[in-house]
Amino acid sequence: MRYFLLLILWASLAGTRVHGAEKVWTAVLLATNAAKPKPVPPQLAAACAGLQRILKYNQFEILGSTTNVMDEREESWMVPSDNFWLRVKARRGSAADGIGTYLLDLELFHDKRPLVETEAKLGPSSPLFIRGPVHSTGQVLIVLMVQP
Amino acid sequence: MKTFEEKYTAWVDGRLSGKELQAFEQEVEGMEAAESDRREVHQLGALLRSHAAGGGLPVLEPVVEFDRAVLDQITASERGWRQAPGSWSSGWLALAGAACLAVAAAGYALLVPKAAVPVPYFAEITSVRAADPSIFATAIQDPSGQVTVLWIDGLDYLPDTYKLR
Repeated sequence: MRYFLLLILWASLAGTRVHGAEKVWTAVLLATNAAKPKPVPPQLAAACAGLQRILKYNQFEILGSTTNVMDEREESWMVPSDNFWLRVKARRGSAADGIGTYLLDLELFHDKRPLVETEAKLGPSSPLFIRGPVHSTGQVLIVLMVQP
Repeated sequence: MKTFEEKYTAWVDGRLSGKELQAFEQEVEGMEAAESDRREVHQLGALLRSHAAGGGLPVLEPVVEFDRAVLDQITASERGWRQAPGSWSSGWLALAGAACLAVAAAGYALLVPKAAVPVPYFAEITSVRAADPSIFATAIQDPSGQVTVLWIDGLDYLPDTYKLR
């Protein structure tokens, strides 16, 4: 009977952890115009048309990416590339914001130099793009997305 | 010297005689209640004697090993009483376990979003603060295109020599 109760407790905690195990995926992108654009990364498929319309580029390549598990207790550093870092503090949004929505405090760094600090509300699988500096080969973008 | 009550009880029971009986009957003469009491006691005694002699009353015989039977019942009930809490709590524990499973399953079904259900796009920039006065940041939102861009101007151009890693 004790083992049965322990199993139930474990199952309950596991269920809680499954729900609380949202992750933040972030990547550094290079947007360019190409005669034969490469396939868009699957994470950006839904946003591809909108990105092309706003940024006027037809190809988006991932230069680097990383994924962090949400931790509401402390801020975390996300380092998708050697050049661009993000300091992220995440907390779960209210019911009015929608299920799975997070409030993110973000600070973007470029080679240790702070660029911008922002607060954003992000629903699951809803990417937020940051238009960074222009490189000789294209436009640098940073993307963040909450993954359920 | 006998008290009145002692004499009265002896008179009702018919245990007074001689001068003592005469003296007491003179004393209670005219007391209807005393004579009535005495008459009822005599009638009751006669009734009991007649039934006992004629077999009207059941003959009570001691039950064989009556004491042992009572003790056996007490012992059995005590044993059951001691076992009851254990079996009762086990039942409750099983019930509580089943309830926990039901709650966990319901919570999972209600709270964990299903992968098959499309999640509406939602991204909103609520505040922006540039770290440098030369930097300007603007939020551009296109919910229909599922794109929200924090557009930063004023950043340094990155030449060929700058290696993006």
